[in-house]
Amino acid sequence: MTGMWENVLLALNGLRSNKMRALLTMLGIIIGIGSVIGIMCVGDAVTGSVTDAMSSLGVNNITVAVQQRVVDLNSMEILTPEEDDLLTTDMLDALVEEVPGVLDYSISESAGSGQAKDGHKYANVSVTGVNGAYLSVNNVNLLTGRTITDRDMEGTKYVAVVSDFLVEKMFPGLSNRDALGQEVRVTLNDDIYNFTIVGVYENVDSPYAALLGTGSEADKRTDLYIPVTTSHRITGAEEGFTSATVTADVQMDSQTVANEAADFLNRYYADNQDFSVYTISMETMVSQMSSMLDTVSIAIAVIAGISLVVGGIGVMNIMLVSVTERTREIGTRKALGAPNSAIRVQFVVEAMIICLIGGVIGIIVGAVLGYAASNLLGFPALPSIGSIAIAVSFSLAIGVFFGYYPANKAAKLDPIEALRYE
Amino acid sequence: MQREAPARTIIRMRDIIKRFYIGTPNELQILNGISLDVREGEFLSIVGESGSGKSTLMNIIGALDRPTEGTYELDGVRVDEAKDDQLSKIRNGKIGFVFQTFNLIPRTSALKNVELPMLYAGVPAGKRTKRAKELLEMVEMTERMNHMPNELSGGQKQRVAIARAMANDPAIILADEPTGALDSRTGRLVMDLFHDLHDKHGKTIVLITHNYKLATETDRIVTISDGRIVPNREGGEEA
Repeated sequence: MTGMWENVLLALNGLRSNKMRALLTMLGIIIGIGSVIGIMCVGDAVTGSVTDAMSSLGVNNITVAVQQRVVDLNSMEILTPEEDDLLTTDMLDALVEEVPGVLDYSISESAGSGQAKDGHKYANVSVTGVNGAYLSVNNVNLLTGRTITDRDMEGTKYVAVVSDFLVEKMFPGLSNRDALGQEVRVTLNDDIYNFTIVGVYENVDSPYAALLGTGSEADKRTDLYIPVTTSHRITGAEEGFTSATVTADVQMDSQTVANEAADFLNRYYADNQDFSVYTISMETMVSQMSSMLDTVSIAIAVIAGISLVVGGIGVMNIMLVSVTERTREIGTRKALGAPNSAIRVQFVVEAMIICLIGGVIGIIVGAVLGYAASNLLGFPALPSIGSIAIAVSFSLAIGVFFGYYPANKAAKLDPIEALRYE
Repeated sequence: MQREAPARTIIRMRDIIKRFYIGTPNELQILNGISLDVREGEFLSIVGESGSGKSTLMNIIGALDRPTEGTYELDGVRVDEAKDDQLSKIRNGKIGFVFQTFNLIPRTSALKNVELPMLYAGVPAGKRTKRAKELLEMVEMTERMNHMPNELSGGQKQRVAIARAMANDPAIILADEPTGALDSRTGRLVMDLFHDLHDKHGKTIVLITHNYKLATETDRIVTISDGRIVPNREGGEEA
């Protein structure tokens, strides 16, 4: 194409001589591209922090759960697992023994939310029954003392592993080590229970606690871990669990181990009409979750992209004005021998330049806002090279699409009429 | 410019008829059978009142429009049969336009304006600039070659426009009232420039004007009235 560079210079020249108009025209593109880029950044940040949070639970973890075999779509009847349907510690012990790659399992059962209280001192807690492996499987960092042991379980002891936050609130002035052996009085479902502290773990705030606004720092709720047998006694629940977490050997493919674990456990459920066991590895869950979040953020970005169409119409409008203003110039160019194609290219290039500059400004604006917003989420993200490339080519495409009609109008002007135009 | 050998015919028009609004009740015939020959190196003027068909004839000579009937050959190329893109090529290569209102491209330097026809002809950038500078030197506009049109006086603009018309060394220069927007002194300078092009460079020039006095400076006057060529004083009706 002869003189493409000339066309670019010409377009820049035209824009320079009409700066305010050029800027207003670009604004639609700037807002459109900026919001898409910004949303992509925030989406990346959310995906990143969610997968990060999930991965911190251990990518080699496998969730084992009891699941209803068939849900009748007509009645939508949901069955509650009976005692016979639940996973037992015997089954899980056998699983660790028999299936290669299964190292350990952890079980947990919520006993409800309560409050530790001593005079005017208090701390909100979620009382959770766990087995010995729970803390290590879930990467809970024990600061001092010990975890829940099999003997605690067998003896249904009233012992607890508490957060350093609880220690700070209930025993101000006491070190974590000195808190061991202390009694903590917990009100749970209108009953009062005394637990002896045997361990203190490091409390880690969920990144979402701040977002969800769960109230003041002083009122935040931390986990208080007790033996699962004790939890059963408190709640009066059946022995057995609807779900458990299994740790797989990191050397092995966790999904393979998950499948083998499912096969093994389902032998116990061969005669069960209503329930079976399913397993899913954390790795699979993380990738499913992140692809779902990606889909959501792309969907939102596409919706934001609709504003680009509005921006494109703005470009088309101003290009039509420009063609009318420059009718005589177009006539002159045609008299000097410009073929229709040259005129068309000139105006399409001009529209593309407007959109390209708008797109680049939009990328910068979107990146700045997106970085700021994702920083608030604690997971600063910048637009990827890919999304920048897409944004640039998309704005160029808008230039071509919305510039073509005015350019074609210019190209098809009758030179005699155009030269005579006042 | 005197030539020994019989000069070549550059423009050959036969029975040119131009109608507008064809097939409607307003159908209008502007040109009623014009036949005109212009020899190479001739300086010709076409005069006529407004409404005589002078502008329509100019548009056809300039390959901006096609005749409804008749044949028109310009430098050996049939213009009446040409398609739009061929007309563009003819305008680009064979015709140099000079307009009453100069028609320089705004916000584009004198140099770039002169380069423009060469750009459309696909001349490489270096050659383009060299030729444009030569042409601007010829019209004595070298000092102002980087000026924008709005920084030039009327006479200067027209000189740049004449340099631009010469860019692709066209077969004819077609000048439409080139002094119409100028005062008499600068108009005189522009006319002198046309005489220069004619005498020194042997250019074929067609001057469209309603100023009879100006027309008398040229080799031959063709008068248009009611869409016909009026036999002139020397009695020489065009063949």
